[in-house]
Amino acid sequence: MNKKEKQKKLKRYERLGAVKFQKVVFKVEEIKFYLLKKLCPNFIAYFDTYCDWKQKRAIKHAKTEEERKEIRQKIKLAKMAMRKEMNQEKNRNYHINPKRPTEIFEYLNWNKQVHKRGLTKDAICILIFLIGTILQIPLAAPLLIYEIINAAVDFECINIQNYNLCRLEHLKPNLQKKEERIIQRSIEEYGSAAEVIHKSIEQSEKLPTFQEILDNIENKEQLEQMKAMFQHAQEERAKEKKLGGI
Amino acid sequence: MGIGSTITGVGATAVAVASLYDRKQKKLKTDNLKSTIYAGVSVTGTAMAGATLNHETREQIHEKYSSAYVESMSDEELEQALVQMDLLMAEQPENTDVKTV
Repeated sequence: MNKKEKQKKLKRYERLGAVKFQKVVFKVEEIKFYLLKKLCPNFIAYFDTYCDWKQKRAIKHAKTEEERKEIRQKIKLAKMAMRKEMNQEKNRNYHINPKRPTEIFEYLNWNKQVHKRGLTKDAICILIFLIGTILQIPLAAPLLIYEIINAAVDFECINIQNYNLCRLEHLKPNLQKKEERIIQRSIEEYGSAAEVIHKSIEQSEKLPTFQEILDNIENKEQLEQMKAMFQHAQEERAKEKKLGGI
Repeated sequence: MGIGSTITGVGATAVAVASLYDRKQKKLKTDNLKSTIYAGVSVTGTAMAGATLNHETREQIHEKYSSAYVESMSDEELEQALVQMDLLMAEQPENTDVKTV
Protein backbone atom coordinates (compact mmCIF):
# COMPACT_ATOMS: atom_id res chain seq x y z
CA MET A 1 0.00 0.00 0.00
CA ASN A 2 1.53 3.34 -1.00
CA LYS A 3 1.31 6.56 1.05
CA LYS A 4 -1.58 8.04 -0.98
CA GLU A 5 -3.72 4.89 -0.68
CA LYS A 6 -2.95 4.68 3.01
CA GLN A 7 -3.98 8.33 3.59
CA LYS A 8 -7.19 7.72 1.62
CA LYS A 9 -8.05 4.68 3.75
CA LEU A 10 -7.24 6.46 7.01
CA LYS A 11 -9.46 9.40 6.03
CA ARG A 12 -12.29 6.98 5.22
CA TYR A 13 -11.98 5.25 8.60
CA GLU A 14 -11.89 8.64 10.35
CA ARG A 15 -15.03 9.78 8.46
CA LEU A 16 -16.75 6.59 9.67
CA GLY A 17 -15.93 7.63 13.23
CA ALA A 18 -12.77 5.66 14.15
CA VAL A 19 -11.06 8.38 16.20
CA LYS A 20 -14.25 9.51 18.01
CA PHE A 21 -15.41 5.95 18.75
CA GLN A 22 -11.95 5.04 20.06
CA LYS A 23 -12.43 7.69 22.77
CA VAL A 24 -15.74 6.03 23.66
CA VAL A 25 -13.99 2.64 23.82
CA PHE A 26 -11.35 3.98 26.25
CA LYS A 27 -14.06 5.52 28.43
CA VAL A 28 -16.02 2.24 28.47
CA GLU A 29 -12.78 0.42 29.35
CA GLU A 30 -12.26 2.78 32.31
CA ILE A 31 -15.83 2.17 33.54
CA LYS A 32 -15.52 -1.58 32.98
CA PHE A 33 -12.44 -1.93 35.20
CA TYR A 34 -13.92 0.39 37.83
CA LEU A 35 -17.14 -1.66 38.03
CA LEU A 36 -15.32 -5.00 37.85
CA LYS A 37 -13.07 -4.10 40.78
CA LYS A 38 -15.95 -2.69 42.78
CA LEU A 39 -18.56 -5.40 42.12
CA CYS A 40 -16.25 -8.38 41.75
CA PRO A 41 -13.09 -7.81 43.79
CA ASN A 42 -12.34 -11.57 43.61
CA PHE A 43 -12.46 -11.63 39.83
CA ILE A 44 -8.89 -12.93 39.56
CA ALA A 45 -9.72 -15.88 41.86
CA TYR A 46 -12.78 -16.73 39.70
CA PHE A 47 -10.72 -16.41 36.54
CA ASP A 48 -8.06 -18.72 37.99
CA THR A 49 -10.75 -21.31 38.82
CA TYR A 50 -12.08 -21.06 35.27
CA CYS A 51 -8.53 -21.49 33.89
CA ASP A 52 -7.94 -24.54 36.11
CA TRP A 53 -11.17 -26.09 34.82
CA LYS A 54 -10.11 -25.39 31.21
CA GLN A 55 -6.70 -26.89 31.92
CA LYS A 56 -8.18 -30.06 33.42
CA ARG A 57 -10.43 -30.50 30.38
CA ALA A 58 -7.62 -29.88 27.87
CA ILE A 59 -5.17 -32.20 29.66
CA LYS A 60 -7.72 -35.05 29.49
CA HIS A 61 -7.49 -34.92 25.69
CA ALA A 62 -3.70 -34.46 25.57
CA LYS A 63 -1.82 -37.48 24.24
CA THR A 64 1.79 -36.76 25.25
CA GLU A 65 3.54 -35.27 28.28
CA GLU A 66 4.89 -32.55 25.97
CA GLU A 67 1.32 -31.52 25.07
CA ARG A 68 0.30 -31.52 28.74
CA LYS A 69 3.29 -29.35 29.63
CA GLU A 70 2.40 -26.90 26.84
CA ILE A 71 -1.20 -26.67 28.09
CA ARG A 72 -0.04 -25.95 31.66
CA GLN A 73 2.35 -23.24 30.44
CA LYS A 74 -0.32 -21.61 28.24
CA ILE A 75 -2.76 -21.50 31.15
CA LYS A 76 -0.14 -19.88 33.38
CA LEU A 77 0.53 -17.26 30.68
CA ALA A 78 -3.21 -16.60 30.42
CA LYS A 79 -3.46 -16.11 34.21
CA MET A 80 -0.52 -13.69 34.18
CA ALA A 81 -1.97 -11.77 31.21
CA MET A 82 -5.31 -11.33 33.01
CA ARG A 83 -3.56 -10.15 36.19
CA LYS A 84 -1.68 -7.61 34.08
CA GLU A 85 -4.93 -6.33 32.55
CA MET A 86 -6.65 -6.01 35.92
CA ASN A 87 -3.66 -4.42 37.69
CA GLN A 88 -2.82 -1.95 34.95
CA GLU A 89 -6.48 -1.48 33.89
CA LYS A 90 -5.51 -1.81 30.23
CA ASN A 91 -7.23 -4.15 27.81
CA ARG A 92 -4.54 -5.92 25.79
CA ASN A 93 -6.52 -5.27 22.58
CA TYR A 94 -6.34 -1.49 22.97
CA HIS A 95 -2.82 -0.85 24.27
CA ILE A 96 0.58 -1.54 22.75
CA ASN A 97 3.00 -3.44 24.98
CA PRO A 98 6.15 -1.26 24.80
CA LYS A 99 8.35 -4.34 25.24
CA ARG A 100 6.54 -6.44 22.62
CA PRO A 101 4.91 -3.91 20.26
CA THR A 102 4.25 -6.41 17.46
CA GLU A 103 1.85 -8.34 19.73
CA ILE A 104 -0.78 -5.68 19.03
CA PHE A 105 -1.23 -6.89 15.44
CA GLU A 106 -2.31 -10.31 16.67
CA TYR A 107 -4.76 -8.77 19.14
CA LEU A 108 -6.15 -6.25 16.60
CA ASN A 109 -6.77 -9.01 14.05
CA TRP A 110 -8.28 -11.31 16.67
CA ASN A 111 -10.56 -8.56 17.95
CA LYS A 112 -11.59 -7.71 14.38
CA GLN A 113 -12.60 -11.33 13.74
CA VAL A 114 -14.66 -11.38 16.97
CA HIS A 115 -16.59 -8.29 15.89
CA LYS A 116 -16.96 -9.58 12.30
CA ARG A 117 -18.63 -12.73 13.66
CA GLY A 118 -20.72 -10.50 15.93
CA LEU A 119 -21.79 -8.36 12.98
CA THR A 120 -22.85 -11.45 11.03
CA LYS A 121 -24.92 -12.65 13.97
CA ASP A 122 -26.43 -9.15 14.40
CA ALA A 123 -27.41 -9.03 10.72
CA ILE A 124 -29.27 -12.36 11.03
CA CYS A 125 -30.99 -11.24 14.25
CA ILE A 126 -31.99 -7.89 12.70
CA LEU A 127 -33.63 -9.75 9.83
CA ILE A 128 -35.49 -12.10 12.21
CA PHE A 129 -36.68 -9.32 14.54
CA LEU A 130 -37.63 -7.09 11.61
CA ILE A 131 -39.93 -9.84 10.36
CA GLY A 132 -41.16 -10.27 13.95
CA THR A 133 -41.86 -6.55 14.23
CA ILE A 134 -43.80 -6.53 10.95
CA LEU A 135 -45.81 -9.51 12.16
CA GLN A 136 -46.35 -7.65 15.47
CA ILE A 137 -44.77 -10.42 17.58
CA PRO A 138 -44.35 -9.18 21.20
CA LEU A 139 -40.88 -7.92 22.17
CA ALA A 140 -39.68 -8.09 18.53
CA ALA A 141 -39.49 -4.29 18.25
CA PRO A 142 -37.28 -3.64 21.32
CA LEU A 143 -35.08 -6.60 20.39
CA LEU A 144 -34.74 -5.18 16.88
CA ILE A 145 -33.55 -1.85 18.32
CA TYR A 146 -31.13 -3.70 20.62
CA GLU A 147 -29.67 -5.64 17.69
CA ILE A 148 -29.34 -2.50 15.54
CA ILE A 149 -27.33 -0.85 18.36
CA ASN A 150 -25.22 -4.02 18.66
CA ALA A 151 -24.55 -3.99 14.94
CA ALA A 152 -23.52 -0.32 15.03
CA VAL A 153 -21.07 -1.07 17.89
CA ASP A 154 -19.63 -4.10 16.07
CA PHE A 155 -19.27 -2.08 12.87
CA GLU A 156 -17.45 0.74 14.68
CA CYS A 157 -15.17 -1.74 16.46
CA ILE A 158 -14.19 -3.27 13.11
CA ASN A 159 -13.66 0.24 11.75
CA ILE A 160 -11.31 1.08 14.67
CA GLN A 161 -9.30 -2.12 14.16
CA ASN A 162 -8.98 -1.36 10.44
CA TYR A 163 -7.90 2.19 11.26
CA ASN A 164 -5.24 1.05 13.72
CA LEU A 165 -4.00 -1.78 11.49
CA CYS A 166 -3.71 0.63 8.57
CA ARG A 167 -1.90 3.19 10.75
CA LEU A 168 0.56 0.69 12.24
CA GLU A 169 1.17 -1.66 9.31
CA HIS A 170 4.03 0.34 7.74
CA LEU A 171 5.68 0.56 11.19
CA LYS A 172 5.72 -3.23 11.60
CA PRO A 173 9.34 -3.83 10.41
CA ASN A 174 10.65 -1.07 12.72
CA LEU A 175 8.55 -2.36 15.62
CA GLN A 176 9.92 -5.86 14.96
CA LYS A 177 13.52 -4.61 15.10
CA LYS A 178 12.78 -2.56 18.22
CA GLU A 179 11.23 -5.61 19.90
CA GLU A 180 14.22 -7.81 19.03
CA ARG A 181 16.61 -5.19 20.42
CA ILE A 182 14.65 -4.81 23.66
CA ILE A 183 14.38 -8.58 24.19
CA GLN A 184 18.06 -9.12 23.41
CA ARG A 185 19.06 -6.39 25.88
CA SER A 186 16.74 -7.91 28.48
CA ILE A 187 18.34 -11.33 27.97
CA GLU A 188 21.85 -9.84 28.32
CA GLU A 189 21.04 -7.81 31.44
CA TYR A 190 18.66 -10.10 33.31
CA GLY A 191 19.20 -13.56 31.80
CA SER A 192 20.10 -15.37 35.04
CA ALA A 193 17.24 -13.80 36.98
CA ALA A 194 14.81 -14.61 34.16
CA GLU A 195 15.87 -18.26 34.33
CA VAL A 196 15.11 -18.36 38.08
CA ILE A 197 11.64 -16.89 37.56
CA HIS A 198 10.83 -19.21 34.64
CA LYS A 199 11.98 -22.29 36.54
CA SER A 200 9.87 -21.25 39.54
CA ILE A 201 6.82 -20.88 37.26
CA GLU A 202 7.49 -24.31 35.70
CA GLN A 203 7.94 -26.04 39.05
CA SER A 204 4.88 -24.51 40.69
CA GLU A 205 1.39 -26.03 40.27
CA LYS A 206 -0.23 -22.57 40.37
CA LEU A 207 1.65 -19.29 39.83
CA PRO A 208 4.52 -18.99 42.32
CA THR A 209 4.54 -16.31 45.00
CA PHE A 210 7.47 -13.91 44.95
CA GLN A 211 8.82 -15.52 48.13
CA GLU A 212 8.93 -18.88 46.30
CA ILE A 213 10.93 -17.23 43.52
CA LEU A 214 13.33 -15.68 46.06
CA ASP A 215 13.82 -19.11 47.63
CA ASN A 216 15.07 -20.38 44.25
CA ILE A 217 17.78 -17.74 43.94
CA GLU A 218 21.18 -19.41 44.18
CA ASN A 219 23.69 -16.56 44.07
CA LYS A 220 24.22 -12.82 44.43
CA GLU A 221 24.36 -12.24 40.65
CA GLN A 222 20.83 -13.60 40.22
CA LEU A 223 19.56 -11.44 43.09
CA GLU A 224 21.21 -8.30 41.72
CA GLN A 225 19.86 -8.96 38.23
CA MET A 226 16.38 -9.59 39.61
CA LYS A 227 16.44 -6.32 41.56
CA ALA A 228 17.60 -4.44 38.47
CA MET A 229 14.84 -6.13 36.41
CA PHE A 230 12.14 -5.12 38.86
CA GLN A 231 13.47 -1.57 39.18
CA HIS A 232 13.49 -1.23 35.40
CA ALA A 233 9.90 -2.53 35.25
CA GLN A 234 8.85 0.05 37.85
CA GLU A 235 10.47 2.89 35.87
CA GLU A 236 8.87 1.73 32.61
CA ARG A 237 5.45 1.63 34.26
CA ALA A 238 5.83 5.20 35.49
CA LYS A 239 6.59 6.26 31.88
CA GLU A 240 3.68 4.21 30.45
CA LYS A 241 1.17 5.83 32.78
CA LYS A 242 1.79 9.09 30.98
CA LEU A 243 0.92 7.52 27.60
CA GLY A 244 -2.58 6.61 26.44
CA GLY A 245 -3.78 3.79 24.19
CA ILE A 246 -2.71 2.72 20.70
CA MET B 1 25.21 -26.17 25.85
CA GLY B 2 27.18 -26.70 22.62
CA ILE B 3 29.78 -28.87 24.41
CA GLY B 4 27.83 -32.11 24.10
CA SER B 5 27.17 -31.60 20.42
CA THR B 6 30.83 -30.63 19.79
CA ILE B 7 32.11 -33.78 21.52
CA THR B 8 29.62 -35.91 19.60
CA GLY B 9 30.62 -34.35 16.28
CA VAL B 10 34.37 -34.66 16.93
CA GLY B 11 33.91 -38.22 18.19
CA ALA B 12 31.92 -39.21 15.11
CA THR B 13 34.61 -37.70 12.86
CA ALA B 14 37.34 -39.61 14.75
CA VAL B 15 35.43 -42.89 14.36
CA ALA B 16 34.93 -42.25 10.64
CA VAL B 17 38.64 -41.49 10.17
CA ALA B 18 39.61 -44.53 12.26
CA SER B 19 37.48 -46.74 9.98
CA LEU B 20 39.85 -45.78 7.13
CA TYR B 21 42.81 -47.44 8.98
CA ASP B 22 44.14 -50.43 7.08
CA ARG B 23 45.45 -53.02 9.57
CA LYS B 24 47.42 -55.00 7.03
CA GLN B 25 49.27 -52.01 5.64
CA LYS B 26 49.26 -50.32 9.07
CA LYS B 27 48.35 -46.92 7.68
CA LEU B 28 45.33 -44.77 6.84
CA LYS B 29 43.77 -45.19 3.41
CA THR B 30 44.10 -41.72 1.94
CA ASP B 31 41.57 -42.20 -0.90
CA ASN B 32 38.58 -40.99 1.03
CA LEU B 33 40.41 -39.30 3.92
CA LYS B 34 39.73 -35.71 2.84
CA SER B 35 36.02 -36.25 2.12
CA THR B 36 35.62 -38.12 5.44
CA ILE B 37 37.21 -35.25 7.39
CA TYR B 38 35.13 -32.62 5.54
CA ALA B 39 31.94 -34.60 6.24
CA GLY B 40 32.87 -34.91 9.92
CA VAL B 41 33.60 -31.20 10.27
CA SER B 42 30.25 -30.34 8.57
CA VAL B 43 28.35 -32.62 10.94
CA THR B 44 30.13 -31.15 13.96
CA GLY B 45 29.46 -27.59 12.76
CA THR B 46 25.77 -28.30 12.16
CA ALA B 47 25.39 -29.92 15.59
CA MET B 48 27.06 -26.93 17.28
CA ALA B 49 24.90 -24.43 15.37
CA GLY B 50 21.77 -26.37 16.33
CA ALA B 51 22.79 -26.43 19.97
CA THR B 52 23.51 -22.68 19.87
CA LEU B 53 20.07 -21.95 18.38
CA ASN B 54 18.39 -24.13 21.03
CA HIS B 55 20.27 -22.24 23.74
CA GLU B 56 19.10 -18.86 22.38
CA THR B 57 15.52 -20.10 22.17
CA ARG B 58 15.70 -21.26 25.82
CA GLU B 59 16.88 -17.81 26.86
CA GLN B 60 14.06 -16.20 24.92
CA ILE B 61 11.57 -18.50 26.65
CA HIS B 62 13.02 -17.57 30.07
CA GLU B 63 12.69 -13.89 29.10
CA LYS B 64 9.08 -14.30 27.90
CA TYR B 65 7.85 -15.97 31.09
CA SER B 66 9.79 -13.73 33.46
CA SER B 67 8.49 -10.61 31.67
CA ALA B 68 4.95 -11.93 31.86
CA TYR B 69 5.36 -12.56 35.59
CA VAL B 70 6.78 -9.12 36.36
CA GLU B 71 4.14 -7.41 34.20
CA SER B 72 1.40 -9.32 36.03
CA MET B 73 2.40 -7.85 39.40
CA SER B 74 0.56 -4.85 40.77
CA ASP B 75 2.50 -1.67 41.65
CA GLU B 76 2.25 -2.60 45.35
CA GLU B 77 3.51 -6.14 44.73
CA LEU B 78 6.41 -4.76 42.70
CA GLU B 79 7.29 -2.33 45.50
CA GLN B 80 7.05 -5.09 48.12
CA ALA B 81 9.25 -7.38 46.01
CA LEU B 82 11.92 -4.67 45.81
CA VAL B 83 11.81 -4.22 49.60
CA GLN B 84 12.19 -8.00 50.08
CA MET B 85 15.16 -8.04 47.73
CA ASP B 86 16.78 -5.09 49.53
CA LEU B 87 16.42 -6.95 52.83
CA LEU B 88 17.90 -10.10 51.34
CA MET B 89 20.82 -8.14 49.86
CA ALA B 90 21.47 -6.48 53.22
CA GLU B 91 21.71 -9.95 54.79
CA GLN B 92 24.30 -11.02 52.23
CA PRO B 93 27.85 -11.06 53.56
CA GLU B 94 30.36 -9.08 51.44
CA ASN B 95 32.36 -10.80 48.66
CA THR B 96 30.43 -13.97 48.40
CA ASP B 97 28.41 -15.65 45.69
CA VAL B 98 26.47 -17.81 48.11
CA LYS B 99 23.07 -16.69 49.34
CA THR B 100 22.68 -17.02 53.08
CA VAL B 101 19.25 -17.39 54.62
